[in-house]
Amino acid sequence: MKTNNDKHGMSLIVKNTAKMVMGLIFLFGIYLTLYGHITPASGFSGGVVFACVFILMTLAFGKDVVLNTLGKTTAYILNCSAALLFLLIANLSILFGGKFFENFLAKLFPSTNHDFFSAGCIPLYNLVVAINIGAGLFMVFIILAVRRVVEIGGKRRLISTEFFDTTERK
Amino acid sequence: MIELLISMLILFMIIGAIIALETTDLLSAVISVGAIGVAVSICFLLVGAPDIASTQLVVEVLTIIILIRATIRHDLITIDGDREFFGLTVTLALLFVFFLFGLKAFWNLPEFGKPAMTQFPDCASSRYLTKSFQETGSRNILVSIIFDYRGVDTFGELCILFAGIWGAFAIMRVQSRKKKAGEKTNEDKQ
Repeated sequence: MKTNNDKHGMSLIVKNTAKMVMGLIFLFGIYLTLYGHITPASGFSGGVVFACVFILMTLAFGKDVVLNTLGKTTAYILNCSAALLFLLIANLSILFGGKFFENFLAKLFPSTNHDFFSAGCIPLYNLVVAINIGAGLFMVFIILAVRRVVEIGGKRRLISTEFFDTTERK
Repeated sequence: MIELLISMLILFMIIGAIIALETTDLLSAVISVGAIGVAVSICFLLVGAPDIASTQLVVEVLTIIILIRATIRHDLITIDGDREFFGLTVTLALLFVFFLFGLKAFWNLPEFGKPAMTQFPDCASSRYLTKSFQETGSRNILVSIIFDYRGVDTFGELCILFAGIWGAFAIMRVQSRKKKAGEKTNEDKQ
């Protein structure tokens, strides 16, 4: 993370507030995801909260910090592997002698109390869906954030500022 | 009565699909595709699914707007005053017909304060309310529905989201320069 007197992003107050709040928002996303089968939440809302942390980071500190923290390549890998894992968990129930998309863990370990480790496959699905949604929303936001329209030789062109280091010019 | 109406609507849809395939005018083809979508929506209203009917209608309107925006550049059609009046009359008549079908679906809804699970004790919603905790172990009924009872539905939803995000990502990339070459060839043809 860059220092506070860096000229990118918003002012000092916004940066300090964002630093204090970001971790709490990320923790709230983890809570929504992991306790989705007990409390009124699910992986979808948890994933949106995960994406909101990185959107807040982009708005407060500028895009360079986010591209160094959670790069675009990491977001691709997280999105694709989460979608594959969802299909893998759904197919595992065939291996354990059930049908496609059956909740096989709940049949192997039946639970009737409100424990954290209950409800079979549902917490796993919540976790995988949260990673998928969060990475996907972050990808869409970052590809919109790195686009700039500049004038080159009298023509307006759309360029990507992802690979330009703007710190040296200023 | 309902079977006759639905078979007439299916005939209408087949005629619309043949028109959309055979016409040389792009705008007419797009509008016939829209007419097929509206007929599907009326079918959903007739079999008692107003929520899916409204979803189908919204998706159809959005599809028509996007398709017209994509095709109108290639052949423009000027509309004079008489034709505009005719179009307005037809639009109002079709809206009235759609309103009548919607009214019929509204009367078929269960009475206010008496949900369907009190009339049919073995329907799906009462099973979710009474047995979802014993069957899945999840206290959150919504999560137990979307990840257990209707898991394949959620899987399709995730597939749509995945394809949508990667499609938007591929369109919004800046690095692609092949589109400009295609535009230049179109200008040369004109």
